[in-house]
Amino acid sequence: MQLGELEKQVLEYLWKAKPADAKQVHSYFEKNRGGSLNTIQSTLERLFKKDLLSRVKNGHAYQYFPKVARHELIGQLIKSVTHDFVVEDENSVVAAFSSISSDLDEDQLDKLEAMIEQQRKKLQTKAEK
Amino acid sequence: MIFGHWALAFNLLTIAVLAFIVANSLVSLAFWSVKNKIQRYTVSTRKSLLWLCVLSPWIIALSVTLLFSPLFQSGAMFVWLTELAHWHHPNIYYFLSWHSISLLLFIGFSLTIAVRSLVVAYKNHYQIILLRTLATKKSENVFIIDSSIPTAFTGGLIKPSCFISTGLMEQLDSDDIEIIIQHELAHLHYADPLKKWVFSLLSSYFSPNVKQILKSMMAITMEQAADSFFVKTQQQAHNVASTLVRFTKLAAKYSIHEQFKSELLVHFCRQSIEQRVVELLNETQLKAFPMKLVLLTIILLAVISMTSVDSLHHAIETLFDH
Repeated sequence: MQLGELEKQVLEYLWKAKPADAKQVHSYFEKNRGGSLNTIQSTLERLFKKDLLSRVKNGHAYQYFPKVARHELIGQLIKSVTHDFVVEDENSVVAAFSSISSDLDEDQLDKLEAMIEQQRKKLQTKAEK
Repeated sequence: MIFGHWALAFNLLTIAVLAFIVANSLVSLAFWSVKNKIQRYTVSTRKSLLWLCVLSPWIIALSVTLLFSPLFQSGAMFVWLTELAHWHHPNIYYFLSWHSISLLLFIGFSLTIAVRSLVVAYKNHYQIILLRTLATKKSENVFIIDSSIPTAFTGGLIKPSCFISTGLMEQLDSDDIEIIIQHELAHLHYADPLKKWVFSLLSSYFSPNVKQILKSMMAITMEQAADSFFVKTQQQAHNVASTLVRFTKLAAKYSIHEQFKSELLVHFCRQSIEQRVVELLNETQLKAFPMKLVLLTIILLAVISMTSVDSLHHAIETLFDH
C-alpha cells in the first residue's frame, strides 16, 4: 500500500486529533499547507478505501478517524513483514537436527556471554605477550 | 494423439518432469546424508552448496532432457548414449496417457507455488513501502520505526531497506546499535530478502522435512554472513557476539509478554544464537568449496536420473501400455 505525502500528513493529523470531518481537516491544512476542500475530501476517501480510516455519518458529513492506532499499525506491519519469511514450525525438525534450540533461556545466554569473555581475555593475553 | 514437432516437445517436457522428480529425490537423499557435514565449510561455501542443492534438480532435468533430445539421440557418435537411455516413440504424444497426467500435475503444482510466492511478494512489497512512509529516514537505506518493540530487520524484495525500532535504540547503547545497523546493511548488500524469497520458492519442490532444513540452514547462513560482513579483527568478532547475546536477552525479556511474542522474530537474533556466537568466536580454518566432489556428484546424479527415466518409462509402459 502506497501513501502519498498528503495522505500521510492527513493520517498523522487524525492520529493526533479527535475524529474530524473533511471541513475540519481542511481548515487545519489550509493554514499549514493550503489545498482545496475537494483535495482533502478525496484524500480522506482514498485513505478510507485503503482501509486505514473508518467513518461515521454525522448529519450530512462523514466523521473520519483512524482504523487502528499508529503504534498498532506499525506493530501489525512489523509482524507481517517478519512473518512472511519465517521458517514454519521451527521447533520440530530443525531443533532435532541442530540440537540447538533457537529459544535460549537466560542460563544459556549467560554461558554464551562467559564464553565470549573468556575468548576476549585469551586474545588480550596473547596480545600482551 | 499428436505427431511431429509438437509431440516431440511434449515428450521432452515429460522427460524433464520425470528427470526432475528423480533428481529431486536423489538430491534430497544426498543432502540428508551430508547435512551435518555442511557446517565444516566456510559461510560462502555453505551458501553456494545450499543454492546448488535447490538448483541441481533443475540443472539435472535440463541436461537429461537435452540428452534425450534428437540432438544427442541421432548419429553414430551417440550410439552408446541411445543404448544407455532412450525414449520410445518421441514423435507421438498421447494426451490421454500417464505422460500428460504427470506433466499436468507438475504444471499445476508449479503454478500453485508461483502464485503463493507472488502473493507473499506483493503483500510484502506494499507493507514495506507503508512502513518506509511511516518511518523516519536515518540514512540512505536505514529507517527508524516508532515502536516500543525492540526490533531490527531488512525488508523489501526489489528495493530493500533496513529498519530499526526506537524501542531497540532506547535500550541498547550506540555501539550495539551500530553493530546491528551494519549487520542489517550487510543483508541489504547481499540482497538477502530477495534471495530468501527465491530460495524459499525453489525449496518448495522438496519434501516438507528437507524444505524445512534447507530454509533454516540458508537463514542461519545468511545471518552468519551478515554477522561477519564488517568483521575484520577477532576483537570485532567478539563485539558482534556480545551484541548478539545482549540483544537476545532484551528480546527474551519482551517475549514474556504474549502480545510481543510474534513481533520478536527479530532477524538479527532469531536464528540460532549459539550457532552464530560459536561461528564468530571460531578461529579454526573452515573448508573451501569442494569443486571436484560437487562436479562428480552432479554428473553421477545426472547419469542415474537419465537411466532412471528410461527404466521408469519402460516399467510403466510395460505395466500399463500408456
